[in-house]
Amino acid sequence: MSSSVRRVILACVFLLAASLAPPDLLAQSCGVERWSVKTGTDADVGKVNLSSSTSNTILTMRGWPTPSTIPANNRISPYETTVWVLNATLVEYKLESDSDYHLVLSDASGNTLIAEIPLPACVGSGSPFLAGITNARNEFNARYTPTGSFQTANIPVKITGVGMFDFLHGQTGVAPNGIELHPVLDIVFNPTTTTDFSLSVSPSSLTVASGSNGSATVTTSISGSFNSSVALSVSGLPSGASATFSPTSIAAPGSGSSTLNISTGTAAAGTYSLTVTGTGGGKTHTAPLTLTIGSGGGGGGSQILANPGFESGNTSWTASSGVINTSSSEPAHSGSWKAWMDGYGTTHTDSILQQVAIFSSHTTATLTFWLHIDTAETTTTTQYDKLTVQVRNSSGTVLKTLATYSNLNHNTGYAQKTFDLSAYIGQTIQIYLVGTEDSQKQTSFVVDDFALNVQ
Amino acid sequence: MNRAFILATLALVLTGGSVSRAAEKPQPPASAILENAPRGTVVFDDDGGRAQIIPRKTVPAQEATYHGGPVVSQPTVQAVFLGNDWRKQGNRAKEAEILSALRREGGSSAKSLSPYGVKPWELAGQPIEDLTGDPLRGTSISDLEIQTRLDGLLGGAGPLEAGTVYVVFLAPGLGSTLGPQATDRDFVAYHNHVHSAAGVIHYAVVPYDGDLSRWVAAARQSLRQTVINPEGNGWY
Repeated sequence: MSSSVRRVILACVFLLAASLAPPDLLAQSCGVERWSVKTGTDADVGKVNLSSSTSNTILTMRGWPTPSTIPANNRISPYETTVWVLNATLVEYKLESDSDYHLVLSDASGNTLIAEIPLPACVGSGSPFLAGITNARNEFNARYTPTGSFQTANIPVKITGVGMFDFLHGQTGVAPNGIELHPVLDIVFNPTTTTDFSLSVSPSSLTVASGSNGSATVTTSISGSFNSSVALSVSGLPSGASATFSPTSIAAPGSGSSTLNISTGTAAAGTYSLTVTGTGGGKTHTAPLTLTIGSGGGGGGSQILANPGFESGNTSWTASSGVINTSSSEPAHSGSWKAWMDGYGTTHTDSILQQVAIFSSHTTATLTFWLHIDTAETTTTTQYDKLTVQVRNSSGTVLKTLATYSNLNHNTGYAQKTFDLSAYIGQTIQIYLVGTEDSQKQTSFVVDDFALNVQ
Repeated sequence: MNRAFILATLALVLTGGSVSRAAEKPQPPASAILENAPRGTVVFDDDGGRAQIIPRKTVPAQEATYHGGPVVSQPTVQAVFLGNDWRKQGNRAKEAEILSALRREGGSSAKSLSPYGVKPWELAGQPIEDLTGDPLRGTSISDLEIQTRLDGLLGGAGPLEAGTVYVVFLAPGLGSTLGPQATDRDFVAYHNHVHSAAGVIHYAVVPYDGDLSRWVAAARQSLRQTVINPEGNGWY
C-alpha cells in the first residue's frame, strides 16, 4: 500500500470515528484507557449484578491478586462484576482533566484506594451505570466543588461502586494492585450508623493441591447496635471437597473471625467460585472466594501450604508489592516464580505471609523452604540486613522466631532450611518472613519451594 | 549475584555517559516514583497518572537512579504528524528536516543507551499523518485527545509491535496540554503511554519549535526518555 493511500485511509478512519461520536463526548474531555469498563459500556457489563451489593474493606480489596493482564473491554470476575460498599474516610479529591472526580479513600490504618466519579456526559447513554453515576456526581457536587488541585476532606463516607483494575501509573492513592471503585454509584457523607454487620474473606483466592487442605480467614465486623451471633456457611464447593469453619459461627455481638478450612478431597482439578455467607440478626451478607484445585503435586496429601513454590503467582500469600515475581535477575529455585525480598540498597522492608491450619489429627509438621542470599555488603561481622522467619498465630502475634538470617549468611545458589512445627498441631498459624534492609548496600533474600509436610 | 545498583544521573545518561546496566528490580510503589523523581520532571497527566516532561525552564541537576525498569530494547520510531497545518506546503519541508534529524540520531543515541540494552533505533518507513483537523477547543490539544487519536489510529489495527515508539509532532501553531501543564510555559516535550485494545502505545509529544536545533533537541531528549523509561517507573 502506498504511503499516500495509507494516509488517506487513516484520515478517513478518524473522520468516521469523530462523526459517529455523540456530541456531548466531543464537547468534553473524557478518558481513554478502559473507558468502556470504567463507565459501563463494555462487553461484560451485563455480568455486573446491580441488584445487590457486597460490603468489603479497603484492606481486603488491596489484597486481591494483581491481574496478569487487564482486558480493554472485558471484566475480571468477581472483582469487576460486583458492586462493592466501603465505609471509609474520604481523604482528598480532585477534578481530573478527563472530567473524573478522583477520590482518595483511606481506612483507619492509612491504607488507601481510589474511587472515581465520571462526568455523566462522558458515559454512554446505554450504560446501566449512568443513573448511579449521575446520582453520585450530584451528591458530590452538593457538598464539594472539585478543582484541578487536590483538596482535603477527611470525612467519613459510605461509598458504593463497581470494582475496576486500573493500570498502575503513579496515581495518587492507588492500591498496590490497581483496584478502584470506578465508577462510584452512590456516596453518603457522614453516614448514620446502621445496625448491621459486614463480612470479608482473606485471602480471596486459594490454590490447594488435590487431596490437600487450604484455609482462609473469615472476618466480621459490626456497626450500630448490632448484637447477634453470625452463622457461617459456604456454597459452591465442588463434589468431593468439604469445608469446615472454626468456630462455626461468630459469637454475639457478631464481631470476630473464623478459619475456613477446605479439604479438596477427591474433587476434580479446576477453578471454582465459592460464596461465603454470614447470617445473623436478620441480615445476610456474602463474600466471594475463588478456589483453585491443582492436579497432583500434593505430595500424597501431606503438603498443606497453598501455592508453595509461587508458581501460581501472587496468590495465597500476602506479600509486599513486587516480591513474588518472575524476574530472571534472581532465578527461582525451581519453576519461574519465587519471593524476592529486599535488594534495593535503601531502607526497605518486605514480607510474605501465609496462614494455614494444621489439623489436630496430625502427629508431625515440618516446614522447609529454599533460601538464597546475595549482598553487596562486605562486612564479615555486622548484620546490616536481616531476614526473620516466624510462626505467628492468626492474629499476628509472634509465637516463635524460627531463625534470623543476614547479609553474613550470603551464599551461592540455594540452601534448604528445615523447621519442626509439630508444636503447632491443632492451631491455625501464619508462616511469616520479613526482610529488613538498611540504608546502604543491597541484600536480597530470595525464597522458594516451601513445604509444610504433615503426617 | 552482586546486584548493587548502578547510580548515575539522568543528565549523564542523556548526554551519553557510560554506565553499566543495572539488574531488574521488583517494581517500587508508585509513591516512590514521584517522591524521588528529579524535581519538576514528573507531573500529573490528564487522568491522574504520571508522565515525564522535558521542562521548558532548566531544571537544576538532580541525581536519579536507574532501578531496572523496562526499556524499549529494539526501538522503531514511528513519526506521527498531527494537525491541519502540516498540509501547508511550507511545512512539508519541516517534516523532512525533523525526520532526517531523527534518522541521524538513531546511531549516535545508541552509544549512550547501549548500557541499558537499547539498540540503535530505526525510523519507520512512512510517517503517519493525522491531518483531520486541529483540536476541538482552541489551538491546543490535550494529552487525552492525543491518546484518543492514537487509539483510533492504532487500537483496531491488530497487536502493536512492542518496540514501536510513536513520536507525535504537533503542527506549527498547535499547542499542547498535559494535565495542568502547557507547552507555552511548562514543557518542550513529554512522553506518556496508553493501553489500547491492541497493546500499550508508548509515545512522545513534541510541539513545533521554529528553531530547528531546539526542536530536534526536544524530540531527541523525549525520545530517549521514552526508550529508557517507557512506563515512567525505571528512574527515580
